[in-house]
Amino acid sequence: MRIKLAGGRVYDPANGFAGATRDLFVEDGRIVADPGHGWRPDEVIDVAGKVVMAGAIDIHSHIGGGKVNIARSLMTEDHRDHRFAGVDGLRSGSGVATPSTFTTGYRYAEMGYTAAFEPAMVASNARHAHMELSDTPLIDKGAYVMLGNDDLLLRLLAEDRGQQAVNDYVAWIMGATRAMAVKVVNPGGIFAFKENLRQLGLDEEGPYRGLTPRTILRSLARAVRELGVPHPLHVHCNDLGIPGNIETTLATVAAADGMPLHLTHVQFHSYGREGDRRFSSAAARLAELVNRTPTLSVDVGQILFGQTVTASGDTMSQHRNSGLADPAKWVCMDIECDGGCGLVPFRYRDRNFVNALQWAIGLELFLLIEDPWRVFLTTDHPNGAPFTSYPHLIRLLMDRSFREEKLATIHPAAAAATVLGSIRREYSLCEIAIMTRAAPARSLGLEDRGHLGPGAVADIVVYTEHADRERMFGTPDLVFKGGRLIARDGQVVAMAWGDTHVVRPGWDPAIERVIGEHMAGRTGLRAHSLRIGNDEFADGRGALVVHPCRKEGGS
Amino acid sequence: MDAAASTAAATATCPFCGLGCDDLPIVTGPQGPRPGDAGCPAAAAGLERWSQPVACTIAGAPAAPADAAVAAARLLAAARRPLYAGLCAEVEAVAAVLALADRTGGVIDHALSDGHLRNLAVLQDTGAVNATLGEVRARSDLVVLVGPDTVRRFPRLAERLHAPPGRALVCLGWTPEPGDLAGWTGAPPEVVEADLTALPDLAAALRALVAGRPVAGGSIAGASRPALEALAARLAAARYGIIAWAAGALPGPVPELAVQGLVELIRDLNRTTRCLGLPLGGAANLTGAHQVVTWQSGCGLRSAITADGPLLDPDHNAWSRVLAAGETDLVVWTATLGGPPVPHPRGVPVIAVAAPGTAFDGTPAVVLPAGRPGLDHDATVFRTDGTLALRLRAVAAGEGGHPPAARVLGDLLAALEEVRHAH
Repeated sequence: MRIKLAGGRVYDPANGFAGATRDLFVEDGRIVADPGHGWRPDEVIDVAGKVVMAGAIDIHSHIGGGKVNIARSLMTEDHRDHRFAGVDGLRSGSGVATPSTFTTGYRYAEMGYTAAFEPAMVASNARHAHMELSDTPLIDKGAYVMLGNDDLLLRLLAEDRGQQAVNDYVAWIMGATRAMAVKVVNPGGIFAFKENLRQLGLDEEGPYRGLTPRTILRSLARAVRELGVPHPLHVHCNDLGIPGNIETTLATVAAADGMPLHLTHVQFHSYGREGDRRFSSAAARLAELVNRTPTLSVDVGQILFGQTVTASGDTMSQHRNSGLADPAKWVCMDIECDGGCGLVPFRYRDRNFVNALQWAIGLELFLLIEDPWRVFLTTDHPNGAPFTSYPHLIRLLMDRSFREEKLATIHPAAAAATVLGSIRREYSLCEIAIMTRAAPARSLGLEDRGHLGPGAVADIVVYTEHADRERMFGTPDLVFKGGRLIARDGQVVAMAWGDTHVVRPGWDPAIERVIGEHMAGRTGLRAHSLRIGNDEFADGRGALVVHPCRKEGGS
Repeated sequence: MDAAASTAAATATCPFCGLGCDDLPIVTGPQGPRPGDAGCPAAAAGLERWSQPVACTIAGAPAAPADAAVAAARLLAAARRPLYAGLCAEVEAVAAVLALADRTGGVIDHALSDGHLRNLAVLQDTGAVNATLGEVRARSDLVVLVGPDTVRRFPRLAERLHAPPGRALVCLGWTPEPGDLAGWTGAPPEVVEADLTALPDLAAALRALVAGRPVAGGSIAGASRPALEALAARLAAARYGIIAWAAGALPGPVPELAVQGLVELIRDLNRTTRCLGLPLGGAANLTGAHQVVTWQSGCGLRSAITADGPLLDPDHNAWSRVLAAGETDLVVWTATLGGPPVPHPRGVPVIAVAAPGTAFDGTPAVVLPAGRPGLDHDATVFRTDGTLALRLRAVAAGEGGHPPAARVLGDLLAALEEVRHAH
């Protein structure tokens, strides 16, 4: 199948195009260089004057696995009030904050997203997570495995088995669970909560033989770098949501000692404790650090007002916040000497001082961090807001007068406490294309995604430019997945399956005995029960794409 | 080195009771290799059942599978409100049932979902604080087993708990009989006598005692006040206490209230220490059916697929109620892992997708034989705690067993599309 997209204004920052009028050529699902005369397209689509970008990539979105499914069960109101019939070959489903899997794929595709990554896969729940992702159509996907609260890593560190053993263990876990990256959530804190601690600072001695979060964090960051996993260690810092936690966040960056880090949902980690209410924005301090630390990237975790549910591996924080549950019901779970999960429904209110300031802090971060290659657009779906609110968020970033209109409606004390009103910056289309396409692809090591150069998978989105950026980004004219038209005018028109992306570093098989003995003694489960086979991905729904590791120490 | 390269295991994983033991020996007999039972009555019964044959039939008469699929498809095409029940089957089979239900509408329920729905009702009203089996095994210092079915329906639970120093067992409302705690090597359990039909009162009293409030009377819900005071003190003093129950077996007029009381007690205890629930269930992959129906529909078991999408209504959509009320005109019953006999409602045809050993109350309109997960084909089931999805590797693949239920149901969907197309 050959397609020519003629005359679009192409925003392809990875290849240096910022709105230049160009034709795009697609052959067998991939972009090809201008083939010249003699190449006869099966279809020529006139996109003259339209904005053309690669498919968007969500680097951090809780879309599948154990905690998401508990959240679906918990959020009965969300599923009763938002129901979708199965028509025109699509499957039925329900939910906005925690959509069912098929619905998740449809909603992403309708917004021009062609990939989303589940950032909190518990190793012992990995098979479940991948089954859900496998039932999520139209988009590429992958998962980050959570480490840093698992009994075995803590044991390897406390017993001083050496970095090589840690690397082998991390590599084995990534291979067994089919992970794309490694995430650490509240390093040591989830374990500490199992031992009845309620807070654990970066340099506090934890309950596992005095091991500190700093030691855990540094060892994992080093393992990820030495194994050559493209995406740096994905860090959910200690002390989420606690006023004054900016100190922990800044100290976490310092602890990495120049090793690459990705800090996730930094909005929840950029709080000061100034002012009468002892809660203030520290966004400027974090932004300043990001601006001068080229090894650091972040995603924001913007909150937007309305009903959602928070779903996190951070049981310590979730239990601490359970009193805020709205509706008043919540779940915490300790998982298999491995991790945990907590689900707390939340309704963010613009007339609530704390919520309003959280909203402003997120936007301050977006606008004060200068390099769009190192700040990614997320709401930490569903924790800050459902991913379907991205078009609204993009408008807040691109349209200063719209932003100020909203600022005027929030809690007045919060409006007075934020510098948001004085920030003139408006994101350009090119910057949006960087932060939602080129940059996440580069960070994850997806070489043929997130851009429109020759060889790229033909995930292409065509928009009609509109002053209302929410409308523009909410209803793209055309969305192609692998060269196939899957959505038109914001509606899914055809089915397709995305690929599953993994990274598989090698390991010394000697570690398998250590893992096997540990598991047999601790949980009673056999290590091979965790391992997911290639055959389990052979369901005819997209490919299993293994990305190469970088050379040790590379960036 | 490839993780998949060495997944071949010398043991099999058991799909029957929900504990998901992954250490069944593979034994070789006259029929070739088979999973052995590891000394567990639930595994032995399930494996024995699988040795009974099942035949492809239309109205009780032998039929070719392709003809049976067409006969079943005609029934489906004519049905206005099918009931998709049983679901005592691997995740892949349940997913295939859902794909079918999405084309016809109808009610979706698992044969053994009563207990699960009790826990879920409380989760949806209040929440939960739970632990997985591995966490319980590794970390608990006190395990309270509420009622005898915590071990009688889950025969290797006591063995799986094993007995490191410092772990204590309490049997609340029951006295163990020989064999109940097989494999438990720790100190003999303490028995706290109580009337389990009054469990909501018992839990309320424990909550009051944990909160330091006095409780009046010499006995509460069949338990002596001093015994309850001692239990409350033990729970509060435990570092990592576990309260286990089997909601499917809880007696009393409103078992949900018992679960509610236990969950609230556990939540209260977490203000000062750790205490977690271990809700036991999940026989015949009940947990896996819940998971896949929830992630695909967003709603879960006892939903109906309607013209407006899926809708959860647990009271209305209980399969036994739907049958008793005559609210269905076709039953599609799927069973590869046992469960209750396939029902035989008067005047309502039944399509059974059934593995060897499935029991029948009467003669279904159509029987479509399906393979045994983990024997004839690879498949996935969930452990009771919902965290571990376990892969069942086919021990007897290629021995001419029946096709996987997922394929049988997929063929049925294709036949349905053909029948519809022909009209």
